[in-house]
Amino acid sequence: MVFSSPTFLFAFLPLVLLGLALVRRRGFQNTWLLGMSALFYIWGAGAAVLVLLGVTLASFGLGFVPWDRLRARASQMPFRLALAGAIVLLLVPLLGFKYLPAIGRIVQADAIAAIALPIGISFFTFHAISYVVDVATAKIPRERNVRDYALYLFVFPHQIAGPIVRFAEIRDELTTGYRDAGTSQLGYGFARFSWGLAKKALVADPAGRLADVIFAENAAMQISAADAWAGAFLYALQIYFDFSAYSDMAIGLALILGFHFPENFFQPYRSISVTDFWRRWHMTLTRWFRDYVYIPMGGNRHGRRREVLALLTVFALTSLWHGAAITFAVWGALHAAMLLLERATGIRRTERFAIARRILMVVFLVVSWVPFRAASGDELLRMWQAMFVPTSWLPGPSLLTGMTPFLMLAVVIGVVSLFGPRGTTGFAAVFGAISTRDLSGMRWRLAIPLTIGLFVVAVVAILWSDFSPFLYYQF
Amino acid sequence: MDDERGRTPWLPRALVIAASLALACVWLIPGSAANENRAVTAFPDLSRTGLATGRDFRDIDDALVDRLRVKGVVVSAIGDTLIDAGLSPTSRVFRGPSGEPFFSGELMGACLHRARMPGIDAYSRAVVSYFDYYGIDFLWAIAPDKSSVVREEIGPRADLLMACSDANRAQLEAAAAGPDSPLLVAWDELIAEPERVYFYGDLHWNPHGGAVFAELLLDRLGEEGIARPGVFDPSAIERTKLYNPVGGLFFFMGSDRPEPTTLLATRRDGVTTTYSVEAAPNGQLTERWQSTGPGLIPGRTLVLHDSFWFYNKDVIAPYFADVTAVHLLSIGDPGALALIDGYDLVIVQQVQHAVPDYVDVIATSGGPWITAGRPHEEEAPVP
Repeated sequence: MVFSSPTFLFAFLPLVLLGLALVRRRGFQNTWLLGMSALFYIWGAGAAVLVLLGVTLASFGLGFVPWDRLRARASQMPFRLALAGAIVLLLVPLLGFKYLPAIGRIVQADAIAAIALPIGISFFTFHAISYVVDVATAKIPRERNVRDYALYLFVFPHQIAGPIVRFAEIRDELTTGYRDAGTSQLGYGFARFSWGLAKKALVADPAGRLADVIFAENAAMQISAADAWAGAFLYALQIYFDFSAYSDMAIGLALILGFHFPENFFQPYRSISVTDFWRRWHMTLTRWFRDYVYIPMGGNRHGRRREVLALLTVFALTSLWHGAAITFAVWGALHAAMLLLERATGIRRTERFAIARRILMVVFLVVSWVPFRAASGDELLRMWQAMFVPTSWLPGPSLLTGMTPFLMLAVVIGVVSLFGPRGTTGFAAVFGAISTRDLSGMRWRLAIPLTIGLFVVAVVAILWSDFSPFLYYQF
Repeated sequence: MDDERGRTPWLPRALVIAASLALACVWLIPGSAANENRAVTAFPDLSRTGLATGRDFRDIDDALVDRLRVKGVVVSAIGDTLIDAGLSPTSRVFRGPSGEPFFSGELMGACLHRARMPGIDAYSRAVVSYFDYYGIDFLWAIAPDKSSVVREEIGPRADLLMACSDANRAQLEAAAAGPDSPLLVAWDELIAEPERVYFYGDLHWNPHGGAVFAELLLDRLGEEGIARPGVFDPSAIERTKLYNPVGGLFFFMGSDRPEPTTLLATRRDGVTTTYSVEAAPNGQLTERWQSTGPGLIPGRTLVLHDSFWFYNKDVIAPYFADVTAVHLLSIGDPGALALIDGYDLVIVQQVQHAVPDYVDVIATSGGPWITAGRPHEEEAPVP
């Protein structure tokens, strides 16, 4: 189930909220929310929920390993081995489901190639690993209530696409006191949700539809430079507005449910360097890799070689995390190369030439998203060839006929979003509040009508986009 | 937000309950469901496999959305508003400066087929050879796209939009101009027609356009000695009934505005025609006209067609002694065509932007049933 589906908006969400509002007991609220979150997952992935249940029970059980005794030993080796073993154990389902099909395709084993990846297993596994590592390293106490722990992993706002929330960040909200959101939290939550819904419906989806057409054409024939650049730009808009919209909706929903989720995006397309970009893009994933891979490998405090190795490892893992394909490897390599270049030149530490660098970064991002979107290495090369070694600059029919009023609106919003200050988000600029924990700046007089307006407009756009009449004739 | 006794204020609860009920009440908004030219999705019969894979839940989603009447209200409102503003809400339809709508697929389809077009002449001749081996005549009639006939309404972007379409047209015209080509093209004739030959809100030709093309088709059969020269009689065309179709282009844009027209049919003196229709297992119709009287094209004729056939079939059919019409979709579906074989003449009537789809498999998938029962001594040449 996705947040923008009518089933979610008009059936699931009201049901969840009514249940929470009508029954006030904490125990019931957690049980209700866990049950509904499980239903949310089952609705999209069916029996794959059993895999996630296995990861849940395994990680919960690993919390009970006597980590303090292992840590207290003179030799750290048993502790490290046990922790590594725990992480590998949690990674087994992710690695199996994610990469066995690719191996199956290589060795032509159809049954293995056909294995379906459980939705959201990557995020789920990262949550579980962060919990086990944090318990093992005594950053947090182990959780003794399996229901509350399962709710941490399953709670539906972050289930499919993050943000990646640390157990410590919502532990109190999960386990102690009342979690009911107050009026201002509810208002912020609905505003943030509507903001995200509008970003998805008004920008990401229209941009994605034409990007899909252009990438499909690129796979089938030679396209012009205008088409290729437009397709790449539209995809850049789609991936940012879709992903950040999902995070907006997740953060808003979480606040309505009484949880404070961390921010996940902070104007990444206004970055002045790739280093800056990764501080603003999918921030909770970057934080995860920093805390659980980069720093444990030595980070930047043990010499240049260790730093480079750690960085390359992080990007290799990031690429692999997105998928077992050469295209993701190319994408990761591009970013890693730029990061290394910025470290070698020291450019990441200066803000000089910010405007020119912002423009260059947009170009770099548009180009580097192409491998992320291309279905194969061949498609990637064709697209880049059309962009940089064009046979024609004239726009093709798909681009010209694709310029519907909805797409024009999406492009205008997308382009406007590239400009503006780097120190605030679009939501904060409009609504006034930049953090879920400090709502004092909210412009309520604007927020209330705007939230309702955005929600209605987004729903209208969603309903329109779902309208897909059959061709009653075939040509 | 808790008070001192751990209870929450009533306002947030009331707001949550009110918002939840408001969201749930969307299902109650009256209106008519969006017309998507298909049956309303039924709720699934839950099965173990369906639940395990999540398919049943997705089917429930589809069934629920089909019952969300507000969707129909939204679609109509957007469609009608933008149509009146001269805009198109969907990339499937583009509109010229005057507002004339066109089907985008005509232009994109032309580009996707571009690479295969240089071989069209050789391929069409190979198909002729293939059928000729069995003693079957073959004619490939290309119905022009609306955009290539009503081109001036596209406006200043026409050259860019029509680049692929123009190139394909040039290739088809060049191939058709060669001696013994089976291709029949008709751009110039339809463009020259003073009366409107295509619908406004639809991509098809109108009954008049279909009749103009029917005349060209029968004239061509006359030139080839299959029909009696000059057999087509425009005065035999009669207006049969009012027809109120919703144009496909309006339909794509979310509007159900009809565009009334009058259907045409040929009534030839002394010719009696019977019509029968049978639904094939794949849902496509197999139509058959059997006529008696003077001046008929003898033998059995098979017409493989697309949707353009609807507007000229009743003008064409009474010129044939026995003509069977099957949708091109069925060309690779022998099960759908088990009843028909043994033809003397095969006509493909196909819209421009689909060429050479369907026909490109005529020997591998289509040929065997078309030629079933025909005498032959050795393997036929495969196009």
